Amino acid sequence: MSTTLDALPQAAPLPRVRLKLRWRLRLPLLHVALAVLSLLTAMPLLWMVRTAFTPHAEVFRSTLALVPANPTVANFPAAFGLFPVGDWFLNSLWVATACALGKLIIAAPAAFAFARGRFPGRDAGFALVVGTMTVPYVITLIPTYMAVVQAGLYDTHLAVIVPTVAHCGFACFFLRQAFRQLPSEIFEAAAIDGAGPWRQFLLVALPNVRAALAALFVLGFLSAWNLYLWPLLVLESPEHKTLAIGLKLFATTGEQGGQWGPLMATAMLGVAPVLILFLLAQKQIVSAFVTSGIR
Amino acid sequence: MRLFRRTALAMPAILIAGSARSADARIDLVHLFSGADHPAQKVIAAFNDRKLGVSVVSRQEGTTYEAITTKAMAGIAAGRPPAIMTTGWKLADFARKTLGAQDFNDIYGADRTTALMANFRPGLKEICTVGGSLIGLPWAMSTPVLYVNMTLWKQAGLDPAQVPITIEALYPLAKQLQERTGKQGLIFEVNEWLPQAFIQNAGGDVITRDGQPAMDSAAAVHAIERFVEPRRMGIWNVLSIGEMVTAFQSGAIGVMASSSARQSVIRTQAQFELALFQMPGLEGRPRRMNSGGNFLAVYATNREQREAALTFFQHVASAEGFRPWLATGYMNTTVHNLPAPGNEAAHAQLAGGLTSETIWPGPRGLEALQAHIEWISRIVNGAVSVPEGLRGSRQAVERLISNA
Amino acid sequence: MSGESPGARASRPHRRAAPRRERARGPRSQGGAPIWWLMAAPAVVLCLAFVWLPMAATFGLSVVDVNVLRSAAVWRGLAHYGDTLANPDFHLALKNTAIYLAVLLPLQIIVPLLLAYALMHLAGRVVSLYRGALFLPAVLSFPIAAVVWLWLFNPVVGVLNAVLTALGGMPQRWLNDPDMAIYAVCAVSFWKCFGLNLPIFAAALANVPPELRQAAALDGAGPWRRAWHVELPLISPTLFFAGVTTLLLVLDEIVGAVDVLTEGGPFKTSTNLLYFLYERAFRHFQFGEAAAVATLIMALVAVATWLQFRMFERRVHYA
Repeated sequence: MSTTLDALPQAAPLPRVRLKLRWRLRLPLLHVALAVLSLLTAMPLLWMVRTAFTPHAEVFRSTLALVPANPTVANFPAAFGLFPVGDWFLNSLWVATACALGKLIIAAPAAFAFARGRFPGRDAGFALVVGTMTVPYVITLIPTYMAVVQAGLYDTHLAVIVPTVAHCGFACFFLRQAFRQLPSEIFEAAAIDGAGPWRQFLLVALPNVRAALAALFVLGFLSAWNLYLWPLLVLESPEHKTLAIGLKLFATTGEQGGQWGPLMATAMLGVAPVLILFLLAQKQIVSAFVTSGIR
Repeated sequence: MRLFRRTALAMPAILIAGSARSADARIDLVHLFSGADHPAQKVIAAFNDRKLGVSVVSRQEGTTYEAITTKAMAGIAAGRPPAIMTTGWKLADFARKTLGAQDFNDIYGADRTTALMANFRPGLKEICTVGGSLIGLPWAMSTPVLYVNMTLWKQAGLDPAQVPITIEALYPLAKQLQERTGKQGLIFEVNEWLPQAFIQNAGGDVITRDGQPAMDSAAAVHAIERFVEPRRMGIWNVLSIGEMVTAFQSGAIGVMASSSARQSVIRTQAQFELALFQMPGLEGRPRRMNSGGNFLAVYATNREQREAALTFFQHVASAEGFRPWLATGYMNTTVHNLPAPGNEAAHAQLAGGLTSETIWPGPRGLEALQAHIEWISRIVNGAVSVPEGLRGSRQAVERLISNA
Repeated sequence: MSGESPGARASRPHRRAAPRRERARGPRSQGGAPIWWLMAAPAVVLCLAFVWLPMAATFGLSVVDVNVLRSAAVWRGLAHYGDTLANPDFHLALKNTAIYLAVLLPLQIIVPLLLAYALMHLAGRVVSLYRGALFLPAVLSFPIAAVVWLWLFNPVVGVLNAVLTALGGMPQRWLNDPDMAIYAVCAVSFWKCFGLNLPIFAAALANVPPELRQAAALDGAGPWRRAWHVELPLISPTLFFAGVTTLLLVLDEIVGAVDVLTEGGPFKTSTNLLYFLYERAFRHFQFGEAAAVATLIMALVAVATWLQFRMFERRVHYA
């Protein structure tokens, strides 16, 4: 497993198996099939974009046209007027960043300690931390909720961030492996130069695992951006909600009969940053997912 | 921009959390009304503009009474009860016994309470009283009404002056509408409320006065058989309530039975001729319509918040304070003479006398309510027969009520 | 610790005469154990406080009756477990979870595998377009995916029914149909997740040594036989891992979609175990019983994972 991000294979360098003629004829068919599949996969999102730009009067007209007759941008300000969408967006941004960073800040030193440190209780500590990966979070929901409530942290973002950061088992595991793959000579050299654990960590280890850190940040950010059940439980005021649970509130407005245009506009806002991130860093993101999935 | 103004207004409330002493007493009003242009926001804004030393913060916590009530429980458990919350009538017992809704007489004294309640119709005081405690201001009251898409009705060749007053007479007309126009004939809300109207109109009760579940009595079975008949006739495709309103507004359904509270929203959205009628009763049986909606209850535990709540109540109960509220479809529960255009059918039904909504007693009242709704849903979807389903409901509700 | 031959160490000049420990290897840490502890402590403490402790607390909660609004706890023994196991809603949640697993697990492994395999044979810029489009839903969150599909599923004005009627079919009730709702949720989940395994499988397939493929081709094996006998076994660790993660996903994250789409479905026909737990705990505030449910779920997950290991570990080839 490499720690650089260029590991993602392209089709070209793959060993091209020499195909018999009948298989060659099937290639264009494959292209067509895949093109159709790609289109079908993207279709719901395209429809979402379409509805976001459809004026209210036409939203309920059942039509198959991909481009609305009178496109408008009115749904976006309308969405902001109906619900504190801006707050939701900023909340999601803040919480996701804090969770991703927090996990790194907590897990990286620990991973380094587990990788290169020698101290009594090291293996037990490592097992303790990494073992949390096997615990389904469902089992921790209720007591954590009660603790949050009793600590007076109900309806605060801290209540979302801290327990999420605490589930840093994977980050620890991942980083420990990354650290262990670094040649020990560089640490030897640093130790000889008088660097203690902290300095070895900060000056030697971290710079060399940038790729792993980036991958973890992306994964952590995305997973925190997509958190649902836990924020649903501990975030109460509409202004505190994150985008994911705010959308649920928006989507289930029973009294209004559904403001689908603004709702889709809001969904677009939820999708947009992730999409942009994806388009800019597609390789890195996919690589992050892949490297987390390969032993 | 409204977004930032609202954020700016809300921030102090969040930070202060009702404990600090400030120039204005800030109290939360937890409700379920969606949208920044909902009349609830107008009422709150009008009150805040009067600068009476109290500032009300609007907090929409959900879109159903069940949702906001369970959220309130969490807040109460955390020691942060909402100062005021729109409490569904059906949850009155639950609110009093489990959530801690305050008795007005206790916190405001008999004199001020009487003065406040004098603004409302005399009969409503009884509905607001649970176990001897007056716990609510009858702010929002609705009743089931019939929404008719008159454009489709006429298109089907039906006489607009002849909207039937019994359900048995309505069904064939709805079928005719469906056959002639190709649009769905009829749709009912699937919850505990509309069936309650049917059951009561048949002479039964969902839960009797002494708190006994009675939804599988012979009268109730008769009523629900009538309720699901449109399903058998093929003129009612079941939709969720949100989908139902969307569909009706877009002109896809001819007749809808739903809460009168929706009428203002539907009027603005519908692009066809809309007319409202009283909910039809059952043939050969006396009419006994129910009411619904919510009352404003006080959950605050400190004196400052309670007094602030009273100031708000006094505003809302006044003619000027109540007037903008009528822009919703809620009825005029006050004794003031206020015009309610478009809502004549509901008021006529109110004048004919309305019963309270079914009150679900006991600390597990919420669960019992949800169990009952699920059984009704099973019946409507044809998963069980009517007698089976109603019996299942009664057993489930009995178990939950007695497990108090 | 990191592999360092004794010889190398012996030939390095000593900076200072540090006391030699018998098994000393690795860098000499100045400051010793306390600094390492400090570095590891936050992670360990947080894990203890927010994972292990709550886990123990859940077991404790499952045998008492605790009401959030009244503080005294009442001992109930195994009553909650009994109530839960007898609860028909629990059985329904169990059955639904089994359905979710039975539908999604195979789909989310086989389809991306086939796609990865197909993509392997194609070249050109457009292939990354396919890859991008197919992977895209995977970065969305479940609630957002659900909201998008909620609109598609709308029985009256949604595009799915519009397409269906245009093709001459009957409009469906989708999320309102008690028999169909769970499959509708499956469809959303599949759409969101199938792209996730795509690059993972593609990378695994790429790691298959070309010599083995060539050898099999030379032996006269056609593409399918090559796939079955050579490639599949070699990527089996990845398949296995994908299976485990999909299992967790179906049990856990799908709740976001369930809540937005159906809230458990027309009378609980699309609920799953976790959603059932959520309702017991946070709609009905029956914490004791919910804790029992949580414990039962965890036991089930453990059993399922163990089963998966037993059934498939043997077939997994580690290179």
